[in-house]
Amino acid sequence: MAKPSAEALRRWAEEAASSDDAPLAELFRAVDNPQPLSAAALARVHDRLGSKLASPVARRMRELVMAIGMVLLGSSLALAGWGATEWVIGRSQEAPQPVPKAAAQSVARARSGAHLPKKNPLASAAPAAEEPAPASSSGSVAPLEPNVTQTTATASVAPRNISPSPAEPSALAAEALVLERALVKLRREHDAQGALAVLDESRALFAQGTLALEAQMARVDALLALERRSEALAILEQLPLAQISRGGELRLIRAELRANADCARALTDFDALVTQALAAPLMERVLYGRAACELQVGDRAHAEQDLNQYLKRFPQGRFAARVQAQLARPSDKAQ
Amino acid sequence: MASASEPNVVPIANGAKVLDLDCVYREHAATVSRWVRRLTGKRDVCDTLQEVFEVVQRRLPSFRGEAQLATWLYAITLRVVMAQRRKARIRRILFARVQVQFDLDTEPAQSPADDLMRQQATRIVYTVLEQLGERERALLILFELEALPIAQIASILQLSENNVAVSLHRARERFRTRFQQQFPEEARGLNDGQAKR
Repeated sequence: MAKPSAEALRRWAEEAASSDDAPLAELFRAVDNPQPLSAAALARVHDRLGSKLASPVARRMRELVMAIGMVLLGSSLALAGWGATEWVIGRSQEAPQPVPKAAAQSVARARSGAHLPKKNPLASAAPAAEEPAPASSSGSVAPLEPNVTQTTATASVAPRNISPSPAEPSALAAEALVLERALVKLRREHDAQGALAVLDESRALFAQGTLALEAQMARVDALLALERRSEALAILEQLPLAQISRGGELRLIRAELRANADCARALTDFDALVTQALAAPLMERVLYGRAACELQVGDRAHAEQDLNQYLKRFPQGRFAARVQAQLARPSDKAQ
Repeated sequence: MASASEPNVVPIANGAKVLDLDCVYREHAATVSRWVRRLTGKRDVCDTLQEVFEVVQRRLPSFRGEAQLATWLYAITLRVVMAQRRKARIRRILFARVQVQFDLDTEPAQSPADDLMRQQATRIVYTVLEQLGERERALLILFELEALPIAQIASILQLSENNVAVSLHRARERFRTRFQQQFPEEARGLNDGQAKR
């Protein structure tokens, strides 16, 4: 094959109508030519850039935290992989099993993907969480109702510090495999009920496990997918959100869940979140949720500030229409 | 479609001028935002633009004017976009997220039919590009869509011109194959239209 040279290459869009590449020429000639961002959008980015660059120390800290997080994640994965290898080698040589029998059975089931037994003697010791929760407080009519269930797809497992654990590596591997099975059910198979069943088993076997926190986060996602919000909230109330890399997102979910029944408590979360450097989709929900709560508690002035701030930052946001409608309403003071 | 003579390449930086972030942003942010839209195929590119200029701010002191400022900015933009796309791809694999949508903000079309045709062509091109590797995708965008000269592409990607030519040749072959596999009807339709003419 002749070596293609730079001179020999002609762009598809410049090909003649009679050439072999004429269809592609037609296609590429028709492709849109994008426009630059509007002056307003460029100004917004400039503002954001200015405030971010103003604190190089904070940026360095963020980078450091991210680097530490990556190292810890890598170590935990390596540890889990090593544990799994050890466990597999141990099994193949028919050596004495360092893992509990029930855990080994669980791992075998997790590997095979078989359905869990309906009655697990160990699972009965765990708190029952299967019965559907009563419908969440739909009685409280919030002027703007935050949307909670859409957050479940964005779940991720937080990196976590795995210090030398007293547990056997094989037990950790078994725990990781069971948790993996639950996550596959939840995220790949979209079977939240099945994921909860696996998580129940994981809790019964590894109540104080190294990955207990990750299991709890997966449980929150599964409960939210099943719209069992009060149970999800109960778990979120107990999680150490400040120590979790997904803490901002989980705190936002907690705030939105709290907002259904107790706007005053929800506001403490929203107030803390609004000062954090969150991703734009999360910040959009923070501003909207806080405004909803402020309206609920009768703080119209602050609510309007937040609603205006929302429109300024997210003029095309998914709540923009509702925010505009709310701002257009006459205030209570005027009545 | 930009041609090689159009100002998709910003003017060469004045060597005598002291560059600071504000100055670079004021002069080039709009152009960079258009590049980001082209490279990502998305309309909302504020976050990416911000990340590009954060990198620019960090690396501005080391910019010695050996390359054109535009080429230097393009290289940064491309790396930021490629890194974001890799992360997004990993997230999609890990957490089964939905596929990206292409929604370029474009100049107004002459007619609704024209608009529809452009949207469809854009969707097809970006969908096929999505099937290629990051470098091949970038090469095709820079060469076929941005119409940059080979020498500038080589400078942006820090490759030799021969290497760019060979890689482009392969990328075009792969694009052609994927296009015919994934959009047989469209490819046939275009061919039929061609035959009729």
